[in-house]
Amino acid sequence: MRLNQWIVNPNLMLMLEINQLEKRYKKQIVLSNLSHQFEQGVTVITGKSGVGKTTLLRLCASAEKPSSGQILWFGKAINKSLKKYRLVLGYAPQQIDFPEDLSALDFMCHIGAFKNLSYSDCYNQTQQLLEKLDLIKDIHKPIQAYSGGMRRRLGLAQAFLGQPECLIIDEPSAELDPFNAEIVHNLIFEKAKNATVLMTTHLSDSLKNYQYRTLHLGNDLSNNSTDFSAPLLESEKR
Amino acid sequence: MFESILTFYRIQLKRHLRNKLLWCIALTTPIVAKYLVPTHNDGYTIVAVNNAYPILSSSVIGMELGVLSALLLSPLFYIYLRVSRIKISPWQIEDVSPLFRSKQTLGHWLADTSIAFLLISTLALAGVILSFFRLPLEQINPLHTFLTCLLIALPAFSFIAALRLIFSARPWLRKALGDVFFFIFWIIGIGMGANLAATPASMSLDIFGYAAPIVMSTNQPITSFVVGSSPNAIDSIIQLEPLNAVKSSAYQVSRVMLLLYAGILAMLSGLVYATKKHTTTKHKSYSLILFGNIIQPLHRMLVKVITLLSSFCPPLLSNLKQFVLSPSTTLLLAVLAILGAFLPFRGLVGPAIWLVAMFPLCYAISLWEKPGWIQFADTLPQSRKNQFVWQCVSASTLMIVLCIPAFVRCIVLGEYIFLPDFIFICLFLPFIIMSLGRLTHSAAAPRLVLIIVWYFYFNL
Repeated sequence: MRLNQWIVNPNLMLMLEINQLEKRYKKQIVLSNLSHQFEQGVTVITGKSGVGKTTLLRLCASAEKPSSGQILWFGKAINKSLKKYRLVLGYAPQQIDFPEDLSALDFMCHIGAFKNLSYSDCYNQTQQLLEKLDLIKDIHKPIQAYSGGMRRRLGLAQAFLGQPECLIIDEPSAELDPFNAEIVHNLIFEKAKNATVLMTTHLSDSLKNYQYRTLHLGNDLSNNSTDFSAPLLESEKR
Repeated sequence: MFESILTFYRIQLKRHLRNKLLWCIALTTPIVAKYLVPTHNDGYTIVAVNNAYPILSSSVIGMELGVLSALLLSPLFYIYLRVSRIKISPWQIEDVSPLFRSKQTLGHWLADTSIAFLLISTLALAGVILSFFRLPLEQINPLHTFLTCLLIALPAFSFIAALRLIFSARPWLRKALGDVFFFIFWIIGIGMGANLAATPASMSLDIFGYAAPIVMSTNQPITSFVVGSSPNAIDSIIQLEPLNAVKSSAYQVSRVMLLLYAGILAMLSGLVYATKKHTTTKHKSYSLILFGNIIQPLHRMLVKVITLLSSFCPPLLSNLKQFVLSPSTTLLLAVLAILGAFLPFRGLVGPAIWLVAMFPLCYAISLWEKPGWIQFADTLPQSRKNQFVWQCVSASTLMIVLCIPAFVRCIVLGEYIFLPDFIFICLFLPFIIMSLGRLTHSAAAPRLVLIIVWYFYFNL
């Protein structure tokens, strides 16, 4: 009950918030003084390669810790309630080390077990997700027989397991043909009706039929500066 | 709670059963069993007590198979767990999951133990079949063979499965150090069993569980027992009854306790698990404090020289450059090579060069054998076979360069007796490393096999 209250609060639109976020690897500053509030719906993070899009997603997905600053979920720092945050998180990184010998169903059940889902729940959700992503006929095939596009969709499908409230997706349409890219985008935007979705893309043209917000990361980073060096150039609602 | 453990168990078991490497091991075990249970006419014995050949019975067959598999086949089981593709998991997603990691490690340990049970049962079954050829029909008791073999070997294999999980949990144990620690554990485990008398207290320390079944199997005072090939022990015979130990509650409790420790270790590996993505800032700064101003410039100069020479023989020198990636290892190798001019080769410089050079060579072959790289390498104008030859030639060249001072010393002193050592270290060792790395697509198998062989060479 307490968990549910924490997860779903329909009165609050500001779900995920980053506050004075900084990430540095040794001496290299990747993100500096970045603050933003992500509302319910889709926010597309754009910017040139190397500007820190994936790093920002990894930080929001709790895959890495920020060097300084905070990430808040419904006003609470995620590092203080990590387990609860991860219960509502769906994360699809760009690169996944797939266990090639497993079938798609086994892979999904493996991830489902990590999300504390029962086998039957996981099985039902997998059926529905793979149906939507046009992978249902290959559900029992080993992943090694999957093409690049099929792997991408499978990697995406696992993020939707367990009805996540916060969905973080790195380049969902990479390696996908226009037809499959549209299927994936439909799924993401349908989910965004009751979740906060953060995604990166280089191909924002393919999203012209959807409503979303944009967070554009600039690339005028200065390694020696601790100032606001990753400015928010554009934040607009389309 | 149990549902997720069961899911991990089920999926891991499925992955094991789909693994061709496991099937290869399972299919070769009956052949191995034939040689692990020699007849009196074979001219050698695998287990000798008081320098005598044990008279075969169902339980003796079970004991021989159990002891041998616990001691000698367990490193093979470790290599299988360490190199096969069952270790690949989508860690990028797992790392951000809310799951209590111990559930996963416990599920995996149960699956690994089940597989060990199947392998040992296959071996025991082969023992039963062998007993039909080697024993009178009325003396055959399959239950004794199974019970003895399983009770000795299964807890040892299970403990090794847990150890592998611990070695996969921490970043610094996932690489060479984990294999070195396993080797140390293996040697100490064998030593502890041999040196402790078979008392209830020591039984729990005998991880491989081989001492008690041998020591307790006869009422005669035991002056010596040998595990491994012993051709001199066929002149006399001895009656053994390993069931004395197998049926004793002290031994049974010690084996069950070992299974329990293994389970706890598996759970612990979940608790101490650290993500694969980690920064190396601390390591870098540490190495800089130690060597920064001395080694780095020398190392840069060496790499520059090799790069300049690359135009003469690109494949050879580009491979060589990869062997000397680590400045500290390169410096250590250079020091050992120079010491070769002053110190004896066998027992000192030779084993030292072998031990130190083995790690960069194994690491390099593991880099070349990554799946993505193999696919790319297949498309290069030079075939993979040619690339392999160049890798072997480059590794041999490195070893020859390192051994030159020692070789000159031996020639000057007329110590021609060490020539086979040079040939082995300079030619065969690089070939073994590259071949094992190529076969298993990893560094773990050549590393562990060669540490074990190195240990025998060091003790020559």
